[in-house]
Amino acid sequence: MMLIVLLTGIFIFLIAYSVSLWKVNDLQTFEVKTVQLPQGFGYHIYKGEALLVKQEFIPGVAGNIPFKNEIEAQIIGDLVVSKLVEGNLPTVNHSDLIGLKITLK
Amino acid sequence: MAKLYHLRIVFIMVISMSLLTACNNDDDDDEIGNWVDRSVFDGSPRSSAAYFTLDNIGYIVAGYDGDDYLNSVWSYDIEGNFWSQKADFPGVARSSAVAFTAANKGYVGSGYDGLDELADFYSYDPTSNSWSQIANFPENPRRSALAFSANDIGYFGTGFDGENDRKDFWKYNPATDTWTALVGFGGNKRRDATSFTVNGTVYMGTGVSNGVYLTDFWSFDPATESWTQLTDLDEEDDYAITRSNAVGFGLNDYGYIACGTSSGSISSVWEYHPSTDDWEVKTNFEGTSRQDAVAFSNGVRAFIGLGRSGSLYLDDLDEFFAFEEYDDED
Repeated sequence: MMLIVLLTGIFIFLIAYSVSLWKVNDLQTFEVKTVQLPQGFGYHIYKGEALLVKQEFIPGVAGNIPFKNEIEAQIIGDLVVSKLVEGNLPTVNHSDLIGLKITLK
Repeated sequence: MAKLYHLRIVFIMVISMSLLTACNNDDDDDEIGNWVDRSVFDGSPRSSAAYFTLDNIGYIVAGYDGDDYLNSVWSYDIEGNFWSQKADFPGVARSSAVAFTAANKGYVGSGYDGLDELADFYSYDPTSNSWSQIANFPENPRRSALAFSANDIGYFGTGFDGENDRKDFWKYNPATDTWTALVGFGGNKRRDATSFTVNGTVYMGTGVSNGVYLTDFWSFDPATESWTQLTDLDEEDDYAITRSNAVGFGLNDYGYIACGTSSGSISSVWEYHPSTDDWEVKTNFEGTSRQDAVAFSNGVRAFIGLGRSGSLYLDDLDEFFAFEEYDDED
Protein backbone atom coordinates (compact mmCIF):
# COMPACT_ATOMS: atom_id res chain seq x y z
CA MET A 1 0.00 0.00 0.00
CA MET A 2 2.77 2.39 1.01
CA LEU A 3 4.58 1.52 -2.20
CA ILE A 4 1.53 2.41 -4.30
CA VAL A 5 1.15 5.75 -2.52
CA LEU A 6 4.86 6.45 -2.99
CA LEU A 7 4.79 5.51 -6.68
CA THR A 8 1.67 7.62 -7.26
CA GLY A 9 3.41 10.52 -5.54
CA ILE A 10 6.50 10.17 -7.74
CA PHE A 11 4.31 9.82 -10.83
CA ILE A 12 2.37 13.01 -10.02
CA PHE A 13 5.61 14.83 -9.30
CA LEU A 14 7.14 13.80 -12.63
CA ILE A 15 4.04 14.87 -14.54
CA ALA A 16 3.91 18.16 -12.64
CA TYR A 17 7.60 18.75 -13.28
CA SER A 18 7.36 18.11 -17.02
CA VAL A 19 4.23 20.26 -17.27
CA SER A 20 6.05 23.03 -15.39
CA LEU A 21 8.97 22.82 -17.83
CA TRP A 22 6.51 22.98 -20.69
CA LYS A 23 4.81 26.00 -19.12
CA VAL A 24 8.09 27.86 -18.75
CA ASN A 25 9.06 27.12 -22.34
CA ASP A 26 5.62 28.26 -23.35
CA LEU A 27 6.41 31.63 -21.79
CA GLN A 28 9.15 32.12 -24.34
CA THR A 29 6.89 31.95 -27.38
CA PHE A 30 6.09 35.65 -27.22
CA GLU A 31 6.59 37.53 -30.45
CA VAL A 32 6.71 41.27 -31.14
CA LYS A 33 5.32 42.57 -34.43
CA THR A 34 5.69 46.26 -35.12
CA VAL A 35 2.79 47.89 -36.94
CA GLN A 36 2.75 51.02 -39.07
CA LEU A 37 0.05 53.52 -38.12
CA PRO A 38 -1.09 56.72 -39.85
CA GLN A 39 1.00 58.87 -37.49
CA GLY A 40 3.88 56.53 -36.57
CA PHE A 41 4.41 53.02 -35.23
CA GLY A 42 3.11 50.66 -32.58
CA TYR A 43 3.61 47.03 -31.65
CA HIS A 44 1.54 43.93 -31.14
CA ILE A 45 2.68 41.14 -28.84
CA TYR A 46 1.53 37.63 -29.63
CA LYS A 47 1.67 34.63 -27.38
CA GLY A 48 1.69 31.81 -29.90
CA GLU A 49 -1.20 32.68 -32.22
CA ALA A 50 -3.05 34.87 -29.74
CA LEU A 51 -2.81 38.64 -29.67
CA LEU A 52 -1.98 39.52 -26.07
CA VAL A 53 -1.01 43.20 -26.15
CA LYS A 54 -2.03 45.71 -28.78
CA GLN A 55 -0.03 48.90 -28.25
CA GLU A 56 -0.70 51.58 -30.85
CA PHE A 57 0.60 54.47 -28.75
CA ILE A 58 3.45 54.87 -26.27
CA PRO A 59 2.51 53.00 -23.06
CA GLY A 60 2.01 55.08 -19.92
CA VAL A 61 2.13 58.42 -21.76
CA ALA A 62 -0.90 60.70 -21.91
CA GLY A 63 -2.36 61.30 -25.35
CA ASN A 64 -2.55 58.83 -28.19
CA ILE A 65 1.07 59.33 -29.23
CA PRO A 66 2.52 56.58 -31.44
CA PHE A 67 6.21 55.72 -31.62
CA LYS A 68 8.19 58.02 -33.90
CA ASN A 69 9.81 55.14 -35.78
CA GLU A 70 9.77 51.37 -36.06
CA ILE A 71 13.02 50.92 -34.12
CA GLU A 72 11.66 52.63 -31.01
CA ALA A 73 8.46 50.54 -31.20
CA GLN A 74 10.56 47.37 -31.51
CA ILE A 75 12.77 48.37 -28.53
CA ILE A 76 9.79 48.85 -26.20
CA GLY A 77 8.00 45.76 -27.57
CA ASP A 78 11.14 43.71 -26.85
CA LEU A 79 11.32 45.24 -23.36
CA VAL A 80 7.72 44.17 -22.64
CA VAL A 81 8.46 40.62 -23.84
CA SER A 82 11.60 40.43 -21.70
CA LYS A 83 9.51 41.46 -18.68
CA LEU A 84 6.87 38.85 -19.54
CA VAL A 85 9.49 36.12 -19.94
CA GLU A 86 11.07 36.99 -16.59
CA GLY A 87 7.65 36.82 -14.98
CA ASN A 88 7.72 40.52 -14.10
CA LEU A 89 5.03 43.13 -14.53
CA PRO A 90 4.91 43.87 -18.28
CA THR A 91 4.22 47.52 -17.47
CA VAL A 92 6.50 50.04 -19.19
CA ASN A 93 7.59 52.71 -16.69
CA HIS A 94 8.39 56.30 -17.50
CA SER A 95 12.02 55.64 -16.50
CA ASP A 96 12.16 52.83 -19.12
CA LEU A 97 11.11 55.29 -21.83
CA ILE A 98 13.65 57.90 -20.70
CA GLY A 99 16.43 55.33 -20.28
CA LEU A 100 15.86 53.93 -23.78
CA LYS A 101 15.67 57.47 -25.23
CA ILE A 102 12.20 57.03 -26.69
CA THR A 103 10.89 60.12 -28.48
CA LEU A 104 7.89 61.22 -26.43
CA LYS A 105 6.37 63.82 -28.73
CA MET B 1 13.23 31.84 -12.31
CA ALA B 2 13.94 28.91 -9.98
CA LYS B 3 11.34 30.26 -7.60
CA LEU B 4 8.81 30.29 -10.42
CA TYR B 5 9.53 26.65 -11.25
CA HIS B 6 8.88 25.59 -7.69
CA LEU B 7 5.73 27.64 -7.39
CA ARG B 8 4.43 26.08 -10.58
CA ILE B 9 5.27 22.57 -9.40
CA VAL B 10 3.49 23.09 -6.09
CA PHE B 11 0.55 24.69 -7.85
CA ILE B 12 0.24 21.88 -10.40
CA MET B 13 0.54 19.22 -7.69
CA VAL B 14 -2.30 20.84 -5.80
CA ILE B 15 -4.37 20.97 -8.99
CA SER B 16 -3.61 17.31 -9.71
CA MET B 17 -4.74 16.38 -6.21
CA SER B 18 -7.99 18.28 -6.59
CA LEU B 19 -8.60 16.74 -10.02
CA LEU B 20 -8.18 13.28 -8.50
CA THR B 21 -10.68 14.22 -5.84
CA ALA B 22 -13.03 15.81 -8.34
CA CYS B 23 -13.17 12.57 -10.36
CA ASN B 24 -14.99 10.94 -7.47
CA ASN B 25 -17.75 13.55 -7.60
CA ASP B 26 -20.34 12.88 -10.25
CA ASP B 27 -23.13 14.78 -8.59
CA ASP B 28 -22.19 18.26 -9.83
CA ASP B 29 -23.82 17.86 -13.25
CA ASP B 30 -26.47 20.49 -12.67
CA GLU B 31 -24.18 23.38 -11.74
CA ILE B 32 -25.28 26.37 -13.77
CA GLY B 33 -22.80 29.01 -14.80
CA ASN B 34 -19.58 28.37 -16.66
CA TRP B 35 -16.15 29.99 -16.57
CA VAL B 36 -13.82 30.23 -19.55
CA ASP B 37 -10.15 31.27 -19.34
CA ARG B 38 -9.47 34.47 -21.22
CA SER B 39 -6.27 36.33 -21.96
CA VAL B 40 -3.54 34.88 -19.78
CA PHE B 41 -1.45 37.83 -18.85
CA ASP B 42 1.34 36.05 -17.01
CA GLY B 43 3.33 38.19 -14.67
CA SER B 44 0.98 41.11 -14.17
CA PRO B 45 -0.56 40.23 -10.83
CA ARG B 46 -2.27 43.00 -8.95
CA SER B 47 -4.86 43.32 -6.24
CA SER B 48 -7.15 46.06 -4.96
CA ALA B 49 -7.07 47.82 -8.34
CA ALA B 50 -9.80 50.25 -9.31
CA TYR B 51 -11.78 49.03 -12.33
CA PHE B 52 -14.46 50.31 -14.66
CA THR B 53 -15.93 49.42 -18.05
CA LEU B 54 -16.71 51.85 -20.87
CA ASP B 55 -18.41 50.29 -23.91
CA ASN B 56 -16.45 47.11 -24.63
CA ILE B 57 -13.26 48.11 -22.83
CA GLY B 58 -12.47 47.22 -19.22
CA TYR B 59 -9.91 49.35 -17.39
CA ILE B 60 -7.75 48.49 -14.39
CA VAL B 61 -6.14 51.40 -12.58
CA ALA B 62 -3.46 51.39 -9.88
CA GLY B 63 -3.50 48.61 -7.25
CA TYR B 64 -0.88 46.70 -5.29
CA ASP B 65 1.28 43.79 -6.49
CA GLY B 66 2.56 42.58 -3.11
CA ASP B 67 5.66 44.80 -3.21
CA ASP B 68 4.66 48.10 -4.73
CA TYR B 69 1.72 50.43 -5.05
CA LEU B 70 1.02 50.91 -8.75
CA ASN B 71 -0.08 53.80 -10.94
CA SER B 72 -0.12 52.02 -14.28
CA VAL B 73 -3.33 51.58 -16.24
CA TRP B 74 -4.21 48.69 -18.52
CA SER B 75 -7.27 48.22 -20.67
CA TYR B 76 -8.83 44.92 -21.73
CA ASP B 77 -10.70 44.71 -25.03
CA ILE B 78 -13.72 42.46 -24.45
CA GLU B 79 -14.25 41.75 -28.16
CA GLY B 80 -10.61 41.31 -29.11
CA ASN B 81 -9.38 39.58 -25.92
CA PHE B 82 -6.19 41.67 -25.74
CA TRP B 83 -4.63 44.28 -23.42
CA SER B 84 -3.14 47.76 -23.95
CA GLN B 85 -1.18 49.94 -21.52
CA LYS B 86 -2.83 53.36 -21.23
CA ALA B 87 -1.70 56.72 -19.83
CA ASP B 88 -0.41 56.38 -16.26
CA PHE B 89 -2.75 57.40 -13.44
CA PRO B 90 -1.48 60.88 -12.47
CA GLY B 91 -2.16 60.66 -8.72
CA VAL B 92 0.13 58.97 -6.20
CA ALA B 93 0.31 55.18 -6.70
CA ARG B 94 -2.37 53.56 -4.55
CA SER B 95 -4.57 50.59 -3.76
CA SER B 96 -8.18 50.32 -2.62
CA ALA B 97 -9.33 53.26 -4.74
CA VAL B 98 -12.81 53.38 -6.27
CA ALA B 99 -14.00 53.96 -9.82
CA PHE B 100 -17.23 55.03 -11.44
CA THR B 101 -18.21 56.13 -14.94
CA ALA B 102 -20.19 59.10 -16.21
CA ALA B 103 -20.70 60.52 -19.70
CA ASN B 104 -18.16 58.20 -21.35
CA LYS B 105 -15.40 58.95 -18.86
CA GLY B 106 -13.97 56.90 -16.03
CA TYR B 107 -13.43 58.44 -12.58
CA VAL B 108 -10.90 57.09 -10.09
CA GLY B 109 -10.03 58.38 -6.64
CA SER B 110 -9.67 57.89 -2.90
CA GLY B 111 -7.61 54.87 -1.75
CA TYR B 112 -4.44 54.20 0.21
CA ASP B 113 -0.80 54.88 -0.71
CA GLY B 114 0.77 52.77 2.04
CA LEU B 115 0.78 55.62 4.56
CA ASP B 116 -2.37 57.67 4.20
CA GLU B 117 -5.95 57.50 3.09
CA LEU B 118 -6.57 59.71 0.05
CA ALA B 119 -9.23 62.17 -1.15
CA ASP B 120 -8.03 63.12 -4.65
CA PHE B 121 -10.02 62.12 -7.74
CA TYR B 122 -9.25 62.10 -11.47
CA SER B 123 -11.23 61.59 -14.65
CA TYR B 124 -10.02 59.52 -17.61
CA ASP B 125 -11.04 60.35 -21.15
CA PRO B 126 -10.60 57.23 -23.32
CA THR B 127 -10.77 59.26 -26.55
CA SER B 128 -7.73 61.37 -25.71
CA ASN B 129 -6.13 58.73 -23.44
CA SER B 130 -5.56 61.36 -20.77
CA TRP B 131 -6.35 62.07 -17.13
CA SER B 132 -7.53 65.33 -15.49
CA GLN B 133 -7.75 66.06 -11.78
CA ILE B 134 -11.25 66.89 -10.55
CA ALA B 135 -12.45 68.35 -7.23
CA ASN B 136 -11.12 66.52 -4.17
CA PHE B 137 -13.63 64.57 -2.13
CA PRO B 138 -14.43 67.15 0.60
CA GLU B 139 -14.94 64.83 3.60
CA ASN B 140 -12.50 62.46 5.34
CA PRO B 141 -10.04 60.89 2.92
CA ARG B 142 -10.67 57.16 2.82
CA ARG B 143 -9.95 53.78 1.28
CA SER B 144 -12.00 50.66 0.63
CA ALA B 145 -15.00 52.82 -0.13
CA LEU B 146 -17.78 52.11 -2.62
CA ALA B 147 -18.67 53.95 -5.82
CA PHE B 148 -21.28 53.47 -8.52
CA SER B 149 -22.86 55.59 -11.18
CA ALA B 150 -26.28 56.29 -12.61
CA ASN B 151 -27.51 58.86 -15.13
CA ASP B 152 -24.02 60.35 -15.54
CA ILE B 153 -23.71 61.08 -11.80
CA GLY B 154 -21.13 59.38 -9.58
CA TYR B 155 -22.02 58.16 -6.09
CA PHE B 156 -19.40 57.50 -3.44
CA GLY B 157 -19.65 56.39 0.16
CA THR B 158 -18.75 54.14 3.08
CA GLY B 159 -15.08 53.07 3.44
CA PHE B 160 -12.39 53.41 6.09
CA ASP B 161 -10.92 56.82 6.94
CA GLY B 162 -7.89 55.54 8.87
CA GLU B 163 -9.69 55.54 12.21
CA ASN B 164 -13.30 54.64 11.56
CA ASP B 165 -15.51 52.92 9.07
CA ARG B 166 -17.99 55.28 7.43
CA LYS B 167 -21.60 55.17 6.31
CA ASP B 168 -22.01 58.52 4.55
CA PHE B 169 -22.82 58.74 0.84
CA TRP B 170 -22.02 61.56 -1.56
CA LYS B 171 -22.75 62.40 -5.16
CA TYR B 172 -20.38 63.86 -7.70
CA ASN B 173 -21.76 65.88 -10.60
CA PRO B 174 -19.23 66.02 -13.49
CA ALA B 175 -21.13 68.90 -15.12
CA THR B 176 -20.43 71.20 -12.17
CA ASP B 177 -17.37 69.39 -10.70
CA THR B 178 -18.99 69.40 -7.26
CA TRP B 179 -19.53 66.93 -4.42
CA THR B 180 -22.79 67.00 -2.43
CA ALA B 181 -23.71 64.96 0.65
CA LEU B 182 -26.64 62.56 0.28
CA VAL B 183 -28.92 61.75 3.15
CA GLY B 184 -31.10 58.75 3.81
CA PHE B 185 -28.85 55.68 3.85
CA GLY B 186 -30.06 53.72 6.86
CA GLY B 187 -27.45 50.98 6.77
CA ASN B 188 -24.42 50.51 8.97
CA LYS B 189 -20.93 51.88 8.49
CA ARG B 190 -18.68 49.53 6.56
CA ARG B 191 -15.69 49.07 4.30
CA ASP B 192 -15.05 46.86 1.25
CA ALA B 193 -18.72 46.66 0.27
CA THR B 194 -19.97 45.82 -3.25
CA SER B 195 -22.62 47.09 -5.61
CA PHE B 196 -24.08 46.18 -8.98
CA THR B 197 -26.61 47.78 -11.32
CA VAL B 198 -29.52 45.99 -13.01
CA ASN B 199 -31.91 47.82 -15.34
CA GLY B 200 -31.01 51.20 -13.88
CA THR B 201 -31.39 50.26 -10.20
CA VAL B 202 -28.29 50.02 -8.01
CA TYR B 203 -28.00 47.24 -5.42
CA MET B 204 -25.55 47.50 -2.52
CA GLY B 205 -24.46 45.19 0.25
CA THR B 206 -21.75 43.08 1.87
CA GLY B 207 -18.68 44.62 3.48
CA VAL B 208 -17.24 44.43 6.95
CA SER B 209 -16.89 46.62 10.03
CA ASN B 210 -14.99 45.77 13.21
CA GLY B 211 -14.67 42.18 12.03
CA VAL B 212 -18.41 41.74 11.54
CA TYR B 213 -19.64 40.90 8.03
CA LEU B 214 -22.73 42.93 7.27
CA THR B 215 -25.96 41.20 6.27
CA ASP B 216 -28.11 44.14 5.17
CA PHE B 217 -28.88 44.60 1.47
CA TRP B 218 -30.20 47.76 -0.20
CA SER B 219 -31.43 49.13 -3.49
CA PHE B 220 -30.82 52.71 -4.60
CA ASP B 221 -33.22 54.41 -6.99
CA PRO B 222 -31.23 57.04 -8.93
CA ALA B 223 -34.39 58.90 -9.96
CA THR B 224 -35.29 59.74 -6.36
CA GLU B 225 -31.84 59.13 -4.85
CA SER B 226 -33.54 57.07 -2.16
CA TRP B 227 -32.54 53.80 -0.50
CA THR B 228 -34.82 50.81 0.15
CA GLN B 229 -33.83 47.95 2.42
CA LEU B 230 -34.28 44.51 0.87
CA THR B 231 -34.13 40.95 2.23
CA ASP B 232 -31.05 40.31 4.37
CA LEU B 233 -28.18 38.36 2.86
CA ASP B 234 -28.51 35.69 5.57
CA GLU B 235 -32.31 35.34 5.35
CA GLU B 236 -32.26 31.73 4.14
CA ASP B 237 -30.29 29.02 5.93
CA ASP B 238 -28.43 28.05 2.77
CA TYR B 239 -27.40 31.61 1.85
CA ALA B 240 -23.65 32.14 2.10
CA ILE B 241 -23.49 35.60 0.56
CA THR B 242 -22.04 37.72 3.37
CA ARG B 243 -18.43 38.64 2.70
CA SER B 244 -16.20 41.63 2.01
CA ASN B 245 -13.75 42.61 -0.75
CA ALA B 246 -16.02 40.93 -3.31
CA VAL B 247 -16.82 42.03 -6.86
CA GLY B 248 -20.31 42.85 -8.04
CA PHE B 249 -21.63 43.18 -11.57
CA GLY B 250 -24.87 43.27 -13.49
CA LEU B 251 -25.37 40.91 -16.41
CA ASN B 252 -28.58 41.03 -18.43
CA ASP B 253 -31.45 41.04 -15.89
CA TYR B 254 -29.55 39.74 -12.87
CA GLY B 255 -26.90 40.91 -10.45
CA TYR B 256 -23.93 38.92 -9.21
CA ILE B 257 -21.71 38.99 -6.15
CA ALA B 258 -18.57 36.92 -6.57
CA CYS B 259 -15.39 36.00 -4.72
CA GLY B 260 -14.22 38.09 -1.76
CA THR B 261 -13.25 37.09 1.75
CA SER B 262 -14.95 35.94 4.91
CA SER B 263 -12.09 34.80 7.13
CA GLY B 264 -10.50 33.25 4.00
CA SER B 265 -10.72 33.78 0.26
CA ILE B 266 -14.02 32.84 -1.38
CA SER B 267 -14.80 31.56 -4.87
CA SER B 268 -18.58 31.31 -4.60
CA VAL B 269 -20.88 33.31 -6.89
CA TRP B 270 -24.44 34.34 -6.02
CA GLU B 271 -27.07 35.55 -8.48
CA TYR B 272 -29.63 38.14 -7.37
CA HIS B 273 -33.12 38.17 -8.88
CA PRO B 274 -34.53 41.71 -8.58
CA SER B 275 -38.11 40.68 -9.40
CA THR B 276 -38.33 38.22 -6.50
CA ASP B 277 -35.66 39.68 -4.16
CA ASP B 278 -33.92 36.34 -3.72
CA TRP B 279 -30.59 34.70 -4.45
CA GLU B 280 -29.35 31.56 -6.18
CA VAL B 281 -25.89 30.07 -5.99
CA LYS B 282 -24.00 29.63 -9.27
CA THR B 283 -20.94 27.62 -10.26
CA ASN B 284 -17.96 28.72 -8.19
CA PHE B 285 -15.42 30.95 -9.86
CA GLU B 286 -13.13 28.48 -11.64
CA GLY B 287 -9.80 30.15 -10.87
CA THR B 288 -8.16 30.35 -7.47
CA SER B 289 -10.52 31.72 -4.82
CA ARG B 290 -9.67 35.37 -4.36
CA GLN B 291 -10.43 38.76 -2.88
CA ASP B 292 -9.90 42.30 -4.18
CA ALA B 293 -10.36 41.12 -7.78
CA VAL B 294 -11.56 43.21 -10.72
CA ALA B 295 -14.74 42.68 -12.72
CA PHE B 296 -15.62 44.00 -16.16
CA SER B 297 -19.15 43.93 -17.52
CA ASN B 298 -20.67 45.61 -20.53
CA GLY B 299 -24.08 44.39 -19.37
CA VAL B 300 -24.11 41.28 -21.55
CA ARG B 301 -20.63 39.81 -20.97
CA ALA B 302 -18.76 39.68 -17.66
CA PHE B 303 -15.19 38.90 -16.65
CA ILE B 304 -13.45 38.44 -13.30
CA GLY B 305 -9.70 38.42 -12.76
CA LEU B 306 -6.62 39.54 -10.85
CA GLY B 307 -6.91 39.96 -7.07
CA ARG B 308 -5.15 37.91 -4.43
CA SER B 309 -5.50 34.78 -2.39
CA GLY B 310 -3.72 35.37 0.90
CA SER B 311 -0.31 36.69 -0.13
CA LEU B 312 -0.47 35.14 -3.62
CA TYR B 313 -1.17 37.86 -6.18
CA LEU B 314 -3.09 36.70 -9.25
CA ASP B 315 -2.93 37.58 -12.95
CA ASP B 316 -5.64 35.55 -14.69
CA LEU B 317 -8.99 36.59 -16.20
CA ASP B 318 -12.06 34.42 -16.75
CA GLU B 319 -15.31 35.07 -18.57
CA PHE B 320 -18.55 34.12 -16.80
CA PHE B 321 -21.41 32.49 -18.71
CA ALA B 322 -24.25 32.64 -16.24
CA PHE B 323 -26.62 30.14 -17.85
CA GLU B 324 -24.33 27.53 -19.34
CA GLU B 325 -23.63 24.26 -17.64
CA TYR B 326 -20.27 24.04 -15.99
CA ASP B 327 -17.50 22.56 -18.13
CA ASP B 328 -14.09 22.22 -16.50
CA GLU B 329 -12.31 21.70 -19.84
CA ASP B 330 -12.50 25.29 -21.12
